[in-house]
Amino acid sequence: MHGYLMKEETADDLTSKLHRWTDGDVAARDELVALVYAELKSIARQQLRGERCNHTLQPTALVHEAYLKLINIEQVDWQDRVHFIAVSARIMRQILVDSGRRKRAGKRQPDTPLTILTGHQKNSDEVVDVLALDAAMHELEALNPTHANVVELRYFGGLTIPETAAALNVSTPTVNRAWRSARAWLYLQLQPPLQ
Amino acid sequence: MCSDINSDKPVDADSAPAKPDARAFQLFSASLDQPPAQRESWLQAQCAGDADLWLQIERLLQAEKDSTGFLESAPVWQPVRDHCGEQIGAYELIRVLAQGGMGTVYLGRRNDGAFEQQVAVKLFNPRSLSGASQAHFDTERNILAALEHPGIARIIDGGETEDGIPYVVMELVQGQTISRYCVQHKLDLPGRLGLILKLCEALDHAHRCGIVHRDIKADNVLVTEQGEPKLIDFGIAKILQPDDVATGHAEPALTGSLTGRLMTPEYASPEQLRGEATMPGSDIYSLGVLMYELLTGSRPHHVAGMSPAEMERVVCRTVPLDPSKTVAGSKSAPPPGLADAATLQRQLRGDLDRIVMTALRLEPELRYASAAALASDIRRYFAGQPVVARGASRWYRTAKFVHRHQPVVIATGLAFVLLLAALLQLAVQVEEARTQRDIAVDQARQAALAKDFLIGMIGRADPYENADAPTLAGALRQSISELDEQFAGQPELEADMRYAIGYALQNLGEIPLARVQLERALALRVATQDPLKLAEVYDGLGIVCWWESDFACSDRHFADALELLETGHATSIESIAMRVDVLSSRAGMQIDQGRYDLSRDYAERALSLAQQHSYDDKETLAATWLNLATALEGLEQNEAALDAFQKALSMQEDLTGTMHPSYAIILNNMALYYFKLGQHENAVQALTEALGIRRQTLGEEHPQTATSLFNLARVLIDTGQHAAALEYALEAVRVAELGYPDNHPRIGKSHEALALVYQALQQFDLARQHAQQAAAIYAAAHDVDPDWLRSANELLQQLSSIE
Repeated sequence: MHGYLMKEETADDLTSKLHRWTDGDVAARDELVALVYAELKSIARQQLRGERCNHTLQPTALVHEAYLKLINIEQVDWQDRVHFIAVSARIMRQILVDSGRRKRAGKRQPDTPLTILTGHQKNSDEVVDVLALDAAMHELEALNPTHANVVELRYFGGLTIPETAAALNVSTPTVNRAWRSARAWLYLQLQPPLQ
Repeated sequence: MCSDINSDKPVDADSAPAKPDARAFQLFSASLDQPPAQRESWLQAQCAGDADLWLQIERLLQAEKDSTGFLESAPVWQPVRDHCGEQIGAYELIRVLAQGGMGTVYLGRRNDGAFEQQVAVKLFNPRSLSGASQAHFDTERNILAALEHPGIARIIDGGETEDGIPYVVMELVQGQTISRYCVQHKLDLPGRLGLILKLCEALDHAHRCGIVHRDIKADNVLVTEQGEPKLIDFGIAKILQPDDVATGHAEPALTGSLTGRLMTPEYASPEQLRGEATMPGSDIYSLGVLMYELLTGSRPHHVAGMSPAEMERVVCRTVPLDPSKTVAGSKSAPPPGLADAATLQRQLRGDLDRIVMTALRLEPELRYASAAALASDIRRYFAGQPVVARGASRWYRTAKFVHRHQPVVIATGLAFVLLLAALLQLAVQVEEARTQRDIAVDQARQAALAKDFLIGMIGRADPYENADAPTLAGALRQSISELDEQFAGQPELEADMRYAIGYALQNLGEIPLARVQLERALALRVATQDPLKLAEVYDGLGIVCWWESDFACSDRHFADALELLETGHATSIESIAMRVDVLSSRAGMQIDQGRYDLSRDYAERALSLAQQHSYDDKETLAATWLNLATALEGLEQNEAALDAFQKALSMQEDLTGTMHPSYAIILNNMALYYFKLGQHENAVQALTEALGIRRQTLGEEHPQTATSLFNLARVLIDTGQHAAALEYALEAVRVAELGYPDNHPRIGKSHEALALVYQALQQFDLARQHAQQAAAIYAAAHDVDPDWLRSANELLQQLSSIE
């Protein structure tokens, strides 16, 4: 997708797209998405090709790698990085969901879910089905788009609370509250049915 | 989908409490604004006795406590399982070729000992295939296996693995995706259209067999090294989705996403996005998207990152911009191989716009009725015939007729063109004559019309009139050989043709060829004794000699032309106009020879002649004033020069207004004059104005914009405004690299300007670096002014003597 655009772009064009987007140019965001998507996919593909089963991938690490590859670091400031990750987080989520489907295709039992570790304190190796999470996120989006955004940025983009606040242009306490309530809601949605 | 979230959801069999609804979640979120100690009582008050609501909120409060750390660390996932090394049917899977939404494609190898065959094996997502459709899968596979066309990757085999994963074995296409192919081969517009044309043929074949592709996109078109496009995954979507309407909403509950459907949203037709039945017209739409993408570098709709509902709304309800408008509005340059944005816009405007937009009609019945019909229109475009997509207005057909015969005629024989052109013109004339109850048009008038028409036509192909004429020189060359034969016995007509062709060749820079034609025209016209016509040829020859820097020859021809004009019809307006023109050219030529005194005299004569006879062609006059200004500058008559520059400016302003590239040229020359006089502020002001005009009229990336930028940088170094100079010089390098072909000397010039800025800023390493780049570019260019290389080398020497 947009393969040739990729080849033609230079890091500076990307930086300028980023600037144009943060200045309110929506078309620039779409161009950015196309580029980042292509890059993320290609990094993920390279890794998948080079690695065997039992290896794991960290999507946020991929986002970071894409960022380093695409953006001329000397020319962007902290806020640019945050905005870049805001774009990437959405894409990363989509890639994970797509992989979830592929994973199902590859498994012998059709219904084995693709799971991702959640980092839950009580049970550190607790996993969640990425497709179920995505479905819950869609529901959350309908309830409160900002809450869903916060989750996307925090979880799929790996942003901290202050960074998320900067990306969404809201205050840190607002993000904090949104994060707490969104997480509680998702947790409830993703709980296995009570036995 | 998301919208029914508030309604009662199906409850698990164990009748667990209902999950929190929107109102509960809203209250719960809002409660976080309350001081922690008062949250619970605040919530209870809000529930006001609604026990069910309170129950939901209690669950959320509990979840809040339990979910500490949930989603707190980065997600981790495992890569897709790899089937490499496994045996599927008769094939061993070697490696993964591609992964897509529907499954994974492997390189497969059949090794029967006797012969070895490589294939592509696609393993599907088993979820896509319900048990009931297994029979359907087999049927479809058999239908597809019968589909044979050089533009379609053949289905060889298929079935189900031991694990129950459905697969198909396809012909392995050694190639790259069409997008990548176009980039790597820097495919031009006809090349890209040629690929689309072949795809149309393949698609038409399949449609005739009753098979719809359903997922046409760039990734599903591979192009072989021989340049043959092949559609892959033909009908695969159908294999997996036997019933459009039923499965159109196959998995909405799972993801609420269109990606559950087997298609690629960016290429999907409106009917596919709505989940309606697909048809051949859906493929034509997707092919239209691909065509749009290949011709402009972007897709008609930008749907990445949109929700399914947004996507559907945008694609189903909005008509995308015409491709030419997309190119005009695009911030990035067109894909490699295509012309620059301005040229591409012109190429797309009209026929190609209409062809693409007809394929992209929202209503399937208004699209091309078949892929063959789309192909026919592309062929008509190539042949210069009216395309069906544009309807059949008389004006359009006439324009097309004339345009079509422009290259054809020149290439295949002028007589043919003449005949057609004359007929066309006559038809119009006769019609007019009839309505005016005029007399019939006689033979002589016909011939005159034909001649004028042809001359005008060749004029239109002149690069100054029409920038799309790079191949015209070739066409003209070809036509020359046929002139003898075609015009035997018609010396006047032959002379006119040769003059027109010679003049056009001269403007195309084909100087030796132009000279031959003009000399033959001269020989013919000497016999006819028409002084104006003879003078016209001398003028042309004068310009040819000027091109060759044979100034003596040029001056002789201009003098001959003037002598004829002064003795013949001395006061006819044509004669005066031509004398002003010739004098102005002669003045320009003398500048190049360094004879500023002569130049000034000729320019002054031209201007006084024009004034005397009230000749008021602003274009000629502006050029003449500019020549005079340059001559006076050379003679160091500074005040008079300034006055002449200002006259040139005001003349140009009358002609075109200030927002015009020609106006900027005058400003630029004026600025250099100020610079020479040490009037730096005036120079900066003029250059800044010129830059503004060029940016607006020629664009940010035009070579002339680069000239303005590095001139500004040069002047600002001298005025000590180093920061501004650096900014302009950096921009100049960027623009020059975009606007000129690789390693053009002008790119070197901008590096040189940048080196000078760095030198002034005492950043000697950077200065050296850019001076080296400039010198390297000059050294590699074959026709660069030796002074340029010398000055770059001098700068390098200066810099290397600094520690």
